[in-house]
Amino acid sequence: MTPVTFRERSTRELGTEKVVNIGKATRRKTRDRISASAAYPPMESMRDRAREIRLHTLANLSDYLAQFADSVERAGGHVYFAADADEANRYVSQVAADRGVRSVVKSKSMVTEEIELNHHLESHGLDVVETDLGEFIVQISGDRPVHIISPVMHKDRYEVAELFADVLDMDYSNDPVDLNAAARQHLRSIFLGADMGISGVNFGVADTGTISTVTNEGNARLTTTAPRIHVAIMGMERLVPNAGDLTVMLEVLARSGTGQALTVYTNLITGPRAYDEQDGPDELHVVILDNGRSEALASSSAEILACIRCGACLNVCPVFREAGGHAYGSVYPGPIGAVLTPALFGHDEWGDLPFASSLCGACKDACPIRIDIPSLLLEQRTESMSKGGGDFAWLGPGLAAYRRIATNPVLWRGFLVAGGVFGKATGEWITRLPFQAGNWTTTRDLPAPADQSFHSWWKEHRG
Amino acid sequence: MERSDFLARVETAQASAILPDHPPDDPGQWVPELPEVDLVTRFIEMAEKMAAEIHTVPVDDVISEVIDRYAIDNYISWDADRIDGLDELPDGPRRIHTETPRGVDGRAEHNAAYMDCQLGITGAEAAFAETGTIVVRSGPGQPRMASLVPLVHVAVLPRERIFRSASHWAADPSARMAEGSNVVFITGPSKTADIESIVTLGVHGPKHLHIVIV
Ligand code: SF4
Repeated sequence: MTPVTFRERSTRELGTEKVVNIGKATRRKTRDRISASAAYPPMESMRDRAREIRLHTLANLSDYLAQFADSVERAGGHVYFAADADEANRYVSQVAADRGVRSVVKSKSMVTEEIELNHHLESHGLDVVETDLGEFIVQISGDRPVHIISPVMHKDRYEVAELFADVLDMDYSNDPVDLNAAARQHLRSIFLGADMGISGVNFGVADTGTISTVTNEGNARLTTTAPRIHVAIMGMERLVPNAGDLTVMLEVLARSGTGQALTVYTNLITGPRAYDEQDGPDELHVVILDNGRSEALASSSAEILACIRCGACLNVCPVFREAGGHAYGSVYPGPIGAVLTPALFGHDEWGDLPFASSLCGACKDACPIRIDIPSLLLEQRTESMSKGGGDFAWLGPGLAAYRRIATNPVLWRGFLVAGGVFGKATGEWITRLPFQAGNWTTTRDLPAPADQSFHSWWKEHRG
Repeated sequence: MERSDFLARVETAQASAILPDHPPDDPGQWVPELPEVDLVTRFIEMAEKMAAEIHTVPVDDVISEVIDRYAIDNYISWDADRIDGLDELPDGPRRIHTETPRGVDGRAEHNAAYMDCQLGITGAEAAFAETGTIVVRSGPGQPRMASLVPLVHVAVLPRERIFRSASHWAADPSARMAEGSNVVFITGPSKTADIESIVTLGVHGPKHLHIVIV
């Protein structure tokens, strides 16, 4: 039987080699992020600024969307507004059918994972090839991305080596340099012969109609240059007002996502190839997608739409580190996914995800936009419970008590002392809570009491 | 969905959105506060850290050296008059034609010539000292492919075009971000760390990046 709850899925994943790999990679990414921020004194003020830009944009989203669409059209692009996944998918396959497209290359895009665009296009007889090295590995192994930035964080080189020896025309090697070279060669000819390139959008710039994609490999540049048609799919919240705002977001994204000062290629696209240019696509289509976002915007969790998908909150999350991305069952895993998934796709199916967190607050500290993920998780839990229990109904009374205790530092300490947790806390996390809360920590870790962040975030939250 | 219906739905949603702080009405211009430095020195330091090779000798000398070092026999380039400090394009190796056919026919055949492209020569119209980044714009005589498909990329950067950071560039009137269908910020050679976080260079883009400051 396919596991349907977080508890079932995570039980299957815990302790596997796969999550050991994830644990290693997320710790490394966290170290890289912290040192990149420390090496850049304006980082903290830049985060404040980035937060202002995102919240300002969300508060005025309909105006910026109208301005953005006008600007894209002025630059010669087509704009399509898609209410949901189905409309977006049908638009893309229609463009392909009208223009005699047979082969499609894609650069990494979470929003196309969200709408399952590959599956849709393949069912219309199109060849679709992922070109980001990680996504390519995911595709040829029939797997799913485990992380929003590093899709194959869970695989080691030996697994990739066997896969490539099998699928690509190469002798067995487990040297990443050889694996990389084989993928380059294989994908290069596919790129150069493709009819359509599909990309995501990291940020759209409202006043110029520019769309940006960031990649280290250069595959988004090839995707948006070699084929005659470029289709960009953008979640409707991903706008910034102008060029100055864009550069702030780009720096913050790179430093938080991968610990780089800037991603190797920041590709800015304004319209299709101009009449006097020598290359680039003949046509540009920008699909602006709602798919649950307007419901999320209208809710008490609107702040989650400020997310820039950097992945930092996944990397620090004790639950993500132990259970891995697949345990969430959603294209958006980790703390961000535990809020975003039910907010976008409903609590009937995803209502248990907000409970997949110890509310330790590490995600809020890591988030470059300072999104208050722990409070949003609580909002989503309340929603889940008001919309009918599921297998987490037992949490109801316990959670209410937990909230009462946890909001009061004195009670919280008393609770831990009474349970003898201070004596048992070894290392970074509390792995077993006292009393009835023991149920809770079977699948969750809490931060050790020495960590003040839980108190401080709550204090801040309460004003 | 019709544009007007879509936007109306968003407008209704944002009216009831519960956002944490009062977002500012107009965020205005902003650039990060950074210590004053010598821009050229800082740019060189950061670009080298990003695995680019920096040259300060005449462009033609760098190109000859690169042709020898990598045994180049074909290249793709911007037009010579689009590159500051470049007298003429090399005449040894074969120059790959860059005018891509429009429409359905001929494109794949044209693109096939890029398969084993070895050297690309372009200008760089600006740079960011703080991140070691160059800015490369598409336009007439400035094909995108020249900085994208070759194994080696040589970019020529006028020294007076080095800005403190990306935000400083964006705040300058010369930035014109939307001019040309493509503007790319390039920070070091193409790379990936997808397999076990091990960095390898030259995935889809150039493996070697040479920047000539003139
Ligand atoms: S919630 Fe914050 S930390 Fe997490 S992915 Fe989004 S921007 Fe990054």
